[in-house]
Amino acid sequence: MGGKSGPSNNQMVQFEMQQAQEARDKENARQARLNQGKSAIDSIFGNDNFGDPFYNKYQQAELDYTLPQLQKQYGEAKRTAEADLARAGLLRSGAAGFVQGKLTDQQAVNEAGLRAKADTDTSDLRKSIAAQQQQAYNQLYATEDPTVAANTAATSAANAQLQTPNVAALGDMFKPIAIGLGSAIPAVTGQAEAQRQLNARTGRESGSGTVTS
Amino acid sequence: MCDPISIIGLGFSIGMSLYNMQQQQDMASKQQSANDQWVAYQRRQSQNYLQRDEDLRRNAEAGREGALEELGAKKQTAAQESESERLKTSLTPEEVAAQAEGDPNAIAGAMFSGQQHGSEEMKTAIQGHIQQAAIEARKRIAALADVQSYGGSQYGLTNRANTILNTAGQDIRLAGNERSGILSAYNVAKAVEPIKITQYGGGAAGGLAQAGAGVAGQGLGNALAASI
Repeated sequence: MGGKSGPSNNQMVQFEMQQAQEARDKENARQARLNQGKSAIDSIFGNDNFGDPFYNKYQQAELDYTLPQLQKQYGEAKRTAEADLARAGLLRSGAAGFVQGKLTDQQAVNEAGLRAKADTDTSDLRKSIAAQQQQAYNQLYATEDPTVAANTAATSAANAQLQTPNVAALGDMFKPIAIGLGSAIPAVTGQAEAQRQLNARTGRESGSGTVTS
Repeated sequence: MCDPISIIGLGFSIGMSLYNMQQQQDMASKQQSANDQWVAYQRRQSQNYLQRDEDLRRNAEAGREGALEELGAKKQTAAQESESERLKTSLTPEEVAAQAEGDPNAIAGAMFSGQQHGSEEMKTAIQGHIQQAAIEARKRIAALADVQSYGGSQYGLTNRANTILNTAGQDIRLAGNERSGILSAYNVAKAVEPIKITQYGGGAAGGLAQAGAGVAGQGLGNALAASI
């Protein structure tokens, strides 16, 4: 009696099965988009694009700005020392060698410091690019999952910050080395050694030919 | 053989059963119709939701892909170089630029007073030094412009990237918020249940049919007992 004419929920079950299938298809498509999106981001921020040449250019730019200042100061300090040594009649003495050594030492240490700073700044640039990449990932996941969109947008401004490199003038990188000033303040580093060499080479008494650094 | 009461009871019972069956068929038909309406409603809601969600997702995707394209190495490098050029012009004093180019007036302006009256050889040598110094200064300023163009300058890479990411982030956020909203609305629609039809008076008709059958059965029983 009721077999043919009874109410059937077949259509409802079919509909819900269809819904389940659509959900599965949608999820598969979502996962495919995620994989594709991640590959695209990996490629854009990979070594082929943001490789060493990109960062080296930045590092070199910073060195091109700072090293000439150092070279200039070194040249000036050297010329001053040469003039002072010549005035003191010590140009061809052990003291001259000592002064030259001090200048060379300061030059090397200062240059190493500037190169280290350029390297650190380049590292910051790498971090900044990495933060951009992370943002791109976050946006990918936010696009595919609306519930994370709000959090992603709120934090985006805080990322991707590049530390400002040191672009101020370097200031005096070389300690002045006073030559021929007997009244200069004694007990400065290296003075005793310089004086010893000065005496050995010239046979002079300390006084007019003192070297202080 | 059969008394009229039994026959009436039997007829009444059959009639009520038929009535009851008709009522059930009517109820089944109404329930089927209600189910069909529910499926149609749910299908419509689902299609609307999926379409709207996909549209919003595409909006977010467009923002995201646009940002990604702008953050590619080629565009970032081009932007950095462009910013570097802008900074070179902006940072280099006009006087230094003119001296580096060999502008005699600019170079003469940098000479100490009295040097203008010196020998030509001396003036040429001094002017050469001034020009060379200006060239070197300009070179270093260019390097400074390069450094700045990666970071904190107005249109430097960091600011540019942040602007791009923030713009895309807001597009994604808006789409995400709207998608959450329509998902909530859709969940409410999904919770709507189909109408459940109940048979009004079906029980009473069944009881009457049963009573009629009882009367008919009793009458038939008595008739049968009398005939034995």
